[in-house]
Amino acid sequence: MSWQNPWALLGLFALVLPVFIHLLSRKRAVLQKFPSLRFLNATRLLPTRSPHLTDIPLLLVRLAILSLAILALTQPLWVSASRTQVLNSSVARVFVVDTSASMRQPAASGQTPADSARTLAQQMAAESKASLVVQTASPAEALPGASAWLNAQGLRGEVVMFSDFSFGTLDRASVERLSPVFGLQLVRVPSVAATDAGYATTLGRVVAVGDSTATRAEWSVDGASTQDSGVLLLAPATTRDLIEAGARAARQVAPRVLADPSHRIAVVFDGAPNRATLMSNAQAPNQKWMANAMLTVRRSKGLSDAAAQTIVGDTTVTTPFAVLARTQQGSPIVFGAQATVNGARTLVFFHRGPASALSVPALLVAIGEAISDNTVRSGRETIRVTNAQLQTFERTPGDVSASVNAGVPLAANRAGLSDARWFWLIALLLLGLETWMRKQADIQASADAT
Amino acid sequence: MSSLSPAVVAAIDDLELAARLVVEGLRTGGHRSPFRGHGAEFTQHRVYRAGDDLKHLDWKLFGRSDRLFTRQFRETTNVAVMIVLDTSASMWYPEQGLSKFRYACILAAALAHLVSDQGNAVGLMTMSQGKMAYWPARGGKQHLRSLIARIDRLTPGDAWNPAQVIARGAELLQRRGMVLVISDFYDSEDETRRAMRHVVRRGHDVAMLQLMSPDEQALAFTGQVEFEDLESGQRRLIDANSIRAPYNRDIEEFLARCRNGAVRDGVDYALMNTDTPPERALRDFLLRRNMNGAASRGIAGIGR
Repeated sequence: MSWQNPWALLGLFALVLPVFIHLLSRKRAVLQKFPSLRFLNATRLLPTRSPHLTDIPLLLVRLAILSLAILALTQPLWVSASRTQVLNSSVARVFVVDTSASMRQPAASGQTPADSARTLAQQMAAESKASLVVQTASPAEALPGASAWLNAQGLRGEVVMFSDFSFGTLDRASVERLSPVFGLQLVRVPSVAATDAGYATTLGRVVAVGDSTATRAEWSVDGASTQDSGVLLLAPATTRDLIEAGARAARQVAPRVLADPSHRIAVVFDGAPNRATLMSNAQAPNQKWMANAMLTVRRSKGLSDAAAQTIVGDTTVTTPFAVLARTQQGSPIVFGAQATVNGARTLVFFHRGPASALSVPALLVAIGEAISDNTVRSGRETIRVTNAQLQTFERTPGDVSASVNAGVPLAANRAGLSDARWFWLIALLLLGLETWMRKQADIQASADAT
Repeated sequence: MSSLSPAVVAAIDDLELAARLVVEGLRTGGHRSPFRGHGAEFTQHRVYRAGDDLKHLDWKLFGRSDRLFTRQFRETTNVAVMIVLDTSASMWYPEQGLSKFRYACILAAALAHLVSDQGNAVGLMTMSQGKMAYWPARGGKQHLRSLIARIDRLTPGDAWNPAQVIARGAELLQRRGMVLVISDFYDSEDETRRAMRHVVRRGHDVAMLQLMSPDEQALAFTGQVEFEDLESGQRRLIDANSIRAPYNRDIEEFLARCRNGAVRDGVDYALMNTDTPPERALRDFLLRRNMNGAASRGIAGIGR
C-alpha cells in the first residue's frame, strides 16, 4: 500500500474532535410539560456534563468515518503485481548530451560527435514514455537536475548520457548524486583522435592526444603571463611565457597554496640563467617537509605519465640530486635537491626538456599537490574514464516498488489512479449506519422520557 | 356492567352525555346500591324483603292485595350544592388523553346531574378569563343543561385564586349547603385550607376532590427530562431517575397533608386518579360519604 499524498495523514489529528464532542455532550433532554415544579427541586439538578464518553458505539462509528475520509485523501494505492507490471512497462528517460569542446570537434565528415549524440538521443526520446533531452558542457552537473525531474514523473527512471567521457566528464561522486532508484546508461560517442588540433582556453591550449578511451591533455601556451605565487619559477626569458601559461593551467588543477609560508620552493627550467650555479651548490634536503614534498612529487601519477610522453636527451644525475620523474626511455626529466636561492634555503626542482612539454604543468600540479594543505587538494584529482569504469557506473532502472519504497510519488497519482474510492464507499456506508444509530438513539430517548 | 374506561370517557365530546353515562353507570352498578331512597315524596312501591323497615310497609295495600309492599320515597330536602372547579393551568395535564381538567369537568357535570336529579339546587363557582365566574345554585333540568354547557365551555389556564373562589362560592350560597371543590390543590395550600375551614365553620358541608394523574403521582419518566411548569412556564432540567424517590416522598407527604388537614377540618376528602373510571371514583366517594353519615345532607339517594 502506498500513500501518494501522505501529508493528508496530518488530518488524523482531527480525530480528537469527535472524542471531545462526545466527552462534552450531554444526553438530550426531553421537554415535558408538568403541572408543578414544586416538588422537583433545583437542588437535585444533575451536573449537566459528566466526564465520561457518551454513546461509545456512535463515537467509534464517527471516528471510523473520519479516519476513512482522511485515508482516502492520502490517495492510497495498492501496488499489486499486475499494477507493478503496468507501471514497470513505462520508463521516463533523461538524455544528457555532452557538448563540451572535445565533442564539438568535427570529424572528417564534418559532423561533430555532439551532433550524432543529439540525433541518437532524439531517436531514443521518441520511443520513451516521458523524456527530456539536456545538452550541457558538463554532463556530471546535469545529474541532480535529471534526478529531480525523474522524481516528478512517478515512473521508472533512467538517465542516458552521450559523451566521449574524456577527463573529468564523470566520476563516482557525480554518479552518486543520481537517486539510486534510477538507472544510468552511458553511451560513448567516438570523438575525433586529434594530435595537433586543439582548443583554446583563457589559460592555454588543450590538445587531445590518442583515442577517445584514453585522453591526455597536453599544454601549449598562448596566454598572457601572470605572477605566480608560492613557487619561484626560474626560466630563460625566451620560454618564460610558456612556463607561465603552464603554471596557470596547473593552478586550475592544483592551486599552489603553501601550507607553511616559510617553505620555499623553486622550479628551475632548462636555460635558466642561474641553473648552473644552483646545481653546483645543491645539496641533499635536510628538512622533513622537503623530503615529503619530493616523495609526493615522485609518486605523482600525472607527472610520471606526462614524463613518459616527453623525449629528452639522455643524461645522468647523481647525488645530491634525487630523480623524481623519468622519460619512457629512462632518462631523468625532473630531479630535486636543496639549494640556496636569494639567500634562503629552498627546495629546488630541476626540469629538463622543452618548456612546452606536458611534464611542465604536470610537475607544477604535483608540486601544488605536495605543498598545499589537504582541503585545497580534495576533489581535484582527475580521473581517467575507461570503458571498464563506465560499466561500473552503469545500472538499470529500479522497479516501481523500489520507487515506492524510496518515497517517489507514482505517476498513478497524476493519472488519478487511486484506491481512495473504496475508502469513500465504506465511509458512506458507515455514514448511513451513523444516521440510523442517531435516529435509534432519538427514538430511545423519547421512549425513555415517556 | 363494566365501568366506562377513562379512554372512552375522554373520547366523548358531549359533556352532558358523558355525565349522564357516568350517572347511569353509578345507578346500574353490579353490586347493591348503597343509596336508599327516603324522603318525604312517595315515588314507588317495592316488594317487601326481610329486613325492610316496617314503618315503610304499606298496610293499606296489604289489606287490599294481601301482599307486602314497601313504600319508597324521593328525597325532598332541597340542598344547594356549589361546585368549585379549578381552572388553573396545572389541571391541563396530561396533554394527551384524559386531562385532569376534563376529568374534573366530567365529575362536576355528573355530580350536577345527580344533585339535580335529586331535586336539589346546583351552582358553579370558578374563574374564567381572569375573573370570577358564578352560576347560582338552582334546580330544574333547564338550569342543569345550561350549567353543563357552561362547564363544557371552560378552559384551564386562567388565573386561579382558590381561597377567594371557595370563600366567595360559600358566601353566595344563600342558605346552608354543600361546597364541592374539585382541584389538584397545588396552589396556595395554606390559604385554601383556611378558606375551607372557614366555610365549614359557617355550617356548610365541604368536600374536596383532589385530582392526580398517574404520571404526576409516580413521576413515570426516565433519563434527563426538561420539565416545564404549566403555570409559570419555568423550565428545569432534571434526571428523572435520581429524583423519583425524593419526589414520590414529597408528593406522598403533600397528599397526606391534604388528607389529614381535611379530616382535621371536617372536610370530606377524596383522592381521584385520572386512570380510574369516573363513575367508580364517584361511587367510592359517595359510598364513603354515606358511611360517614353525610348522605342525607347533599348528594345521596341514587338508589331506586
